[in-house]
Amino acid sequence: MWKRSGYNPLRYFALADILLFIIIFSASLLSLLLAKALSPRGERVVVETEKGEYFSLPLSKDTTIYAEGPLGKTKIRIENDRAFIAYSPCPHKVCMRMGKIEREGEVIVCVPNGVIVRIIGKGGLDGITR
Amino acid sequence: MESQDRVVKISLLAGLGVVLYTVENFLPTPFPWLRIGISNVAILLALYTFGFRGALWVFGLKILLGSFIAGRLFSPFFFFALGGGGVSLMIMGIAKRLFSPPLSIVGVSMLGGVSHNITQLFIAYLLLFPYPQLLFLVPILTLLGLATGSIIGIISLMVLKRLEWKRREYA
Repeated sequence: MWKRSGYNPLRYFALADILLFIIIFSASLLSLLLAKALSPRGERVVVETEKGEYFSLPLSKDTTIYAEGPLGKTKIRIENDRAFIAYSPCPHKVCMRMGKIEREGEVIVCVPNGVIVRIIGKGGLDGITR
Repeated sequence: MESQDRVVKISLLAGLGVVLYTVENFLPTPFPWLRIGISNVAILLALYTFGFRGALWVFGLKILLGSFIAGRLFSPFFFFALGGGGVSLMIMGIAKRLFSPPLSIVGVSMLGGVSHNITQLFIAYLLLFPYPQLLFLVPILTLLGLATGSIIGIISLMVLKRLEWKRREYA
Protein backbone atom coordinates (compact mmCIF):
# COMPACT_ATOMS: atom_id res chain seq x y z
CA MET A 1 0.00 0.00 0.00
CA TRP A 2 2.74 2.41 0.97
CA LYS A 3 5.09 1.15 -1.67
CA ARG A 4 2.55 1.76 -4.39
CA SER A 5 2.11 5.41 -3.52
CA GLY A 6 5.86 5.78 -3.13
CA TYR A 7 5.31 7.16 0.33
CA ASN A 8 6.82 5.79 3.48
CA PRO A 9 5.16 7.28 6.56
CA LEU A 10 8.02 6.12 8.75
CA ARG A 11 10.34 8.64 7.19
CA TYR A 12 7.80 11.33 7.71
CA PHE A 13 8.07 12.19 11.38
CA ALA A 14 9.12 15.67 10.55
CA LEU A 15 7.94 19.03 9.43
CA ALA A 16 4.16 18.55 9.25
CA ASP A 17 3.96 16.94 12.68
CA ILE A 18 6.06 19.63 14.28
CA LEU A 19 4.04 22.33 12.53
CA LEU A 20 0.78 20.78 13.73
CA PHE A 21 2.16 20.62 17.24
CA ILE A 22 3.18 24.26 17.19
CA ILE A 23 -0.17 25.37 15.74
CA ILE A 24 -2.28 23.50 18.33
CA PHE A 25 0.08 24.47 21.14
CA SER A 26 0.09 28.18 20.39
CA ALA A 27 -3.66 28.28 19.65
CA SER A 28 -4.56 26.79 23.00
CA LEU A 29 -2.02 28.90 24.83
CA LEU A 30 -3.40 32.01 23.15
CA SER A 31 -7.00 31.16 24.03
CA LEU A 32 -5.91 30.46 27.59
CA LEU A 33 -4.46 33.95 27.87
CA LEU A 34 -7.45 35.44 26.08
CA ALA A 35 -9.88 33.71 28.46
CA LYS A 36 -7.98 35.17 31.39
CA ALA A 37 -8.01 38.64 29.90
CA LEU A 38 -11.72 38.47 29.07
CA SER A 39 -12.94 37.14 32.39
CA PRO A 40 -14.91 39.84 34.22
CA ARG A 41 -13.24 42.18 36.67
CA GLY A 42 -14.34 41.71 40.24
CA GLU A 43 -16.29 44.13 42.37
CA ARG A 44 -15.37 43.37 45.94
CA VAL A 45 -12.50 41.96 47.96
CA VAL A 46 -13.38 39.37 50.57
CA VAL A 47 -10.89 38.62 53.33
CA GLU A 48 -11.41 35.69 55.65
CA THR A 49 -9.27 34.56 58.56
CA GLU A 50 -8.92 31.35 60.45
CA LYS A 51 -10.77 32.78 63.43
CA GLY A 52 -13.81 33.49 61.27
CA GLU A 53 -13.27 37.20 60.78
CA TYR A 54 -14.75 38.40 57.53
CA PHE A 55 -14.19 41.64 55.65
CA SER A 56 -15.81 42.62 52.39
CA LEU A 57 -14.47 45.77 50.78
CA PRO A 58 -15.00 47.44 47.40
CA LEU A 59 -12.13 46.93 45.00
CA SER A 60 -12.46 50.51 43.79
CA LYS A 61 -11.31 52.20 47.01
CA ASP A 62 -7.64 52.21 47.97
CA THR A 63 -7.20 51.01 51.55
CA THR A 64 -5.04 48.90 53.80
CA ILE A 65 -6.47 46.32 56.15
CA TYR A 66 -4.93 43.98 58.67
CA ALA A 67 -6.09 40.41 59.16
CA GLU A 68 -5.13 38.76 62.40
CA GLY A 69 -3.80 35.20 62.15
CA PRO A 70 -2.02 32.82 64.53
CA LEU A 71 1.39 34.19 63.47
CA GLY A 72 0.49 37.85 63.56
CA LYS A 73 -1.01 40.49 61.34
CA THR A 74 -1.22 40.07 57.57
CA LYS A 75 -1.26 43.40 55.77
CA ILE A 76 -3.61 43.47 52.78
CA ARG A 77 -3.51 46.41 50.45
CA ILE A 78 -6.11 47.43 47.88
CA GLU A 79 -4.62 49.76 45.32
CA ASN A 80 -5.61 50.74 41.77
CA ASP A 81 -8.49 48.23 41.71
CA ARG A 82 -6.20 45.38 42.65
CA ALA A 83 -5.65 43.55 45.91
CA PHE A 84 -2.41 42.08 47.20
CA ILE A 85 -0.68 41.05 50.39
CA ALA A 86 1.78 43.77 51.32
CA TYR A 87 3.25 42.07 54.34
CA SER A 88 2.82 38.71 56.01
CA PRO A 89 4.45 37.31 59.13
CA CYS A 90 4.54 33.79 57.68
CA PRO A 91 7.95 32.10 57.15
CA HIS A 92 8.05 31.59 53.38
CA LYS A 93 6.10 34.67 52.22
CA VAL A 94 4.52 32.70 49.40
CA CYS A 95 1.37 34.79 49.64
CA MET A 96 3.34 37.99 49.13
CA ARG A 97 4.68 36.58 45.89
CA MET A 98 1.27 35.47 44.60
CA GLY A 99 0.86 38.82 42.92
CA LYS A 100 -2.07 41.18 42.58
CA ILE A 101 -5.60 39.94 41.95
CA GLU A 102 -8.43 41.80 40.26
CA ARG A 103 -10.62 39.28 38.39
CA GLU A 104 -13.65 37.39 39.58
CA GLY A 105 -12.71 34.17 41.27
CA GLU A 106 -9.02 34.97 41.78
CA VAL A 107 -7.67 34.02 45.19
CA ILE A 108 -4.61 34.61 47.35
CA VAL A 109 -4.18 32.20 50.21
CA CYS A 110 -1.72 32.37 53.09
CA VAL A 111 -1.78 28.90 54.54
CA PRO A 112 0.48 29.40 57.58
CA ASN A 113 -1.38 32.46 58.80
CA GLY A 114 -4.82 31.20 57.76
CA VAL A 115 -5.78 34.17 55.60
CA ILE A 116 -7.79 33.94 52.39
CA VAL A 117 -8.23 36.93 50.07
CA ARG A 118 -10.56 36.53 47.13
CA ILE A 119 -12.36 38.62 44.56
CA ILE A 120 -16.10 38.36 44.03
CA GLY A 121 -18.25 39.80 41.29
CA LYS A 122 -21.42 41.82 41.18
CA GLY A 123 -23.81 38.99 41.96
CA GLY A 124 -21.68 37.86 44.85
CA LEU A 125 -20.55 34.87 42.83
CA ASP A 126 -17.06 33.75 43.56
CA GLY A 127 -14.69 31.10 42.30
CA ILE A 128 -16.13 28.50 44.62
CA THR A 129 -19.78 28.80 43.70
CA ARG A 130 -18.81 29.00 40.07
CA MET B 1 -12.78 -11.34 2.92
CA GLU B 2 -10.96 -11.26 6.24
CA SER B 3 -8.03 -13.60 5.89
CA GLN B 4 -7.15 -15.85 8.77
CA ASP B 5 -3.81 -14.16 9.14
CA ARG B 6 -5.45 -10.79 9.42
CA VAL B 7 -7.92 -12.01 12.03
CA VAL B 8 -5.08 -13.45 14.12
CA LYS B 9 -3.03 -10.27 14.00
CA ILE B 10 -5.97 -8.02 14.75
CA SER B 11 -6.74 -10.24 17.74
CA LEU B 12 -3.13 -9.97 18.85
CA LEU B 13 -3.31 -6.19 18.72
CA ALA B 14 -6.62 -6.27 20.61
CA GLY B 15 -4.96 -8.42 23.26
CA LEU B 16 -2.09 -5.95 23.48
CA GLY B 17 -4.62 -3.15 23.87
CA VAL B 18 -6.49 -4.94 26.66
CA VAL B 19 -3.29 -5.69 28.55
CA LEU B 20 -1.97 -2.13 28.29
CA TYR B 21 -5.38 -0.75 29.26
CA THR B 22 -5.57 -2.99 32.33
CA VAL B 23 -1.99 -2.34 33.42
CA GLU B 24 -2.46 1.40 33.08
CA ASN B 25 -5.47 1.24 35.39
CA PHE B 26 -3.21 -0.07 38.12
CA LEU B 27 -0.62 2.68 37.80
CA PRO B 28 -0.99 5.44 40.34
CA THR B 29 -1.50 8.94 38.92
CA PRO B 30 -1.81 12.26 40.72
CA PHE B 31 -5.38 12.63 39.39
CA PRO B 32 -7.65 9.74 38.47
CA TRP B 33 -8.53 11.32 35.12
CA LEU B 34 -4.93 12.01 34.13
CA ARG B 35 -3.79 9.07 32.02
CA ILE B 36 -1.55 8.83 29.05
CA GLY B 37 -3.71 6.24 27.29
CA ILE B 38 -0.92 3.86 26.41
CA SER B 39 -3.38 1.26 25.07
CA ASN B 40 -4.00 3.54 22.10
CA VAL B 41 -0.67 2.35 20.74
CA ALA B 42 -2.50 -0.86 19.77
CA ILE B 43 -5.21 1.12 17.99
CA LEU B 44 -2.73 3.26 16.10
CA LEU B 45 -0.77 0.19 15.03
CA ALA B 46 -4.00 -1.44 13.83
CA LEU B 47 -4.95 1.73 11.97
CA TYR B 48 -1.60 1.81 10.18
CA THR B 49 -1.37 -1.91 9.41
CA PHE B 50 -4.99 -3.00 8.89
CA GLY B 51 -6.78 0.23 8.11
CA PHE B 52 -9.79 1.78 9.76
CA ARG B 53 -11.83 -1.43 10.03
CA GLY B 54 -9.00 -3.24 11.78
CA ALA B 55 -8.62 -0.35 14.21
CA LEU B 56 -12.35 -0.39 14.88
CA TRP B 57 -12.14 -4.07 15.81
CA VAL B 58 -9.19 -3.46 18.12
CA PHE B 59 -10.94 -0.50 19.74
CA GLY B 60 -14.22 -2.37 20.27
CA LEU B 61 -12.55 -5.43 21.74
CA LYS B 62 -10.22 -3.34 23.90
CA ILE B 63 -12.97 -1.21 25.36
CA LEU B 64 -15.33 -4.14 26.04
CA LEU B 65 -12.78 -6.54 27.49
CA GLY B 66 -10.75 -3.81 29.23
CA SER B 67 -13.78 -2.32 30.95
CA PHE B 68 -15.00 -5.80 31.83
CA ILE B 69 -11.71 -6.65 33.52
CA ALA B 70 -11.63 -3.30 35.33
CA GLY B 71 -15.14 -4.04 36.56
CA ARG B 72 -16.77 -1.01 35.04
CA LEU B 73 -18.49 -2.26 31.96
CA PHE B 74 -21.49 0.00 31.24
CA SER B 75 -20.59 2.30 34.15
CA PRO B 76 -20.23 6.07 33.54
CA PHE B 77 -16.48 5.53 33.08
CA PHE B 78 -17.23 3.10 30.30
CA PHE B 79 -19.26 5.66 28.39
CA PHE B 80 -16.56 8.28 28.84
CA ALA B 81 -14.01 5.88 27.42
CA LEU B 82 -16.35 4.79 24.63
CA GLY B 83 -17.23 8.34 23.59
CA GLY B 84 -13.70 9.73 23.82
CA GLY B 85 -12.10 6.73 22.18
CA GLY B 86 -14.75 6.42 19.47
CA VAL B 87 -14.58 10.04 18.37
CA SER B 88 -10.81 10.05 18.57
CA LEU B 89 -10.66 6.92 16.40
CA MET B 90 -12.94 8.52 13.82
CA ILE B 91 -10.82 11.68 13.76
CA MET B 92 -7.65 9.64 13.42
CA GLY B 93 -9.16 7.57 10.60
CA ILE B 94 -10.16 10.71 8.71
CA ALA B 95 -6.84 12.42 9.44
CA LYS B 96 -4.88 9.43 8.22
CA ARG B 97 -6.90 9.20 5.03
CA LEU B 98 -6.87 12.91 4.19
CA PHE B 99 -3.69 14.30 5.71
CA SER B 100 -1.38 11.40 6.25
CA PRO B 101 1.02 12.14 3.46
CA PRO B 102 2.14 15.33 5.14
CA LEU B 103 1.40 14.05 8.66
CA SER B 104 2.95 10.92 10.09
CA ILE B 105 1.52 8.57 12.69
CA VAL B 106 2.73 11.06 15.32
CA GLY B 107 0.62 13.89 13.92
CA VAL B 108 -2.40 11.62 13.57
CA SER B 109 -1.94 10.55 17.18
CA MET B 110 -1.77 14.18 18.32
CA LEU B 111 -5.14 14.84 16.70
CA GLY B 112 -6.48 11.70 18.33
CA GLY B 113 -5.30 12.75 21.79
CA VAL B 114 -6.76 16.23 21.49
CA SER B 115 -10.13 15.02 20.15
CA HIS B 116 -10.29 12.36 22.85
CA ASN B 117 -9.95 14.94 25.63
CA ILE B 118 -12.33 17.45 24.06
CA THR B 119 -14.98 14.76 23.57
CA GLN B 120 -14.69 13.66 27.17
CA LEU B 121 -15.06 17.23 28.34
CA PHE B 122 -18.15 17.56 26.16
CA ILE B 123 -19.62 14.35 27.63
CA ALA B 124 -18.87 15.66 31.13
CA TYR B 125 -20.66 18.89 30.22
CA LEU B 126 -23.71 16.98 28.95
CA LEU B 127 -23.96 14.41 31.72
CA LEU B 128 -22.34 15.82 34.85
CA PHE B 129 -21.66 19.55 34.98
CA PRO B 130 -23.79 21.67 32.66
CA TYR B 131 -21.83 24.85 33.39
CA PRO B 132 -20.55 26.96 30.50
CA GLN B 133 -17.46 27.73 32.63
CA LEU B 134 -16.26 24.27 31.64
CA LEU B 135 -15.30 25.91 28.34
CA PHE B 136 -12.28 27.38 30.12
CA LEU B 137 -10.88 23.88 30.40
CA VAL B 138 -10.76 23.39 26.62
CA PRO B 139 -7.29 24.92 26.08
CA ILE B 140 -5.86 23.06 29.08
CA LEU B 141 -7.27 19.73 27.93
CA THR B 142 -6.07 20.45 24.41
CA LEU B 143 -2.54 20.92 25.69
CA LEU B 144 -2.75 17.73 27.74
CA GLY B 145 -4.11 15.78 24.76
CA LEU B 146 -1.37 17.19 22.58
CA ALA B 147 1.26 15.99 25.03
CA THR B 148 -0.17 12.49 25.51
CA GLY B 149 -0.93 12.15 21.80
CA SER B 150 2.66 13.01 20.89
CA ILE B 151 4.06 10.49 23.36
CA ILE B 152 1.70 7.75 22.14
CA GLY B 153 2.48 8.63 18.53
CA ILE B 154 6.24 8.45 19.04
CA ILE B 155 5.92 5.09 20.83
CA SER B 156 3.73 3.79 17.99
CA LEU B 157 6.21 5.01 15.41
CA MET B 158 9.04 3.23 17.20
CA VAL B 159 7.02 0.00 17.34
CA LEU B 160 5.85 0.28 13.74
CA LYS B 161 9.42 0.70 12.54
CA ARG B 162 10.36 -2.60 14.13
CA LEU B 163 7.20 -4.49 13.24
CA GLU B 164 7.94 -7.42 10.93
CA TRP B 165 4.37 -7.79 9.52
CA LYS B 166 4.23 -4.48 7.84
CA ARG B 167 7.54 -5.03 6.10
CA ARG B 168 6.49 -8.34 4.63
CA GLU B 169 2.86 -7.85 3.86
CA TYR B 170 1.74 -4.30 4.15
CA ALA B 171 4.73 -2.18 3.29
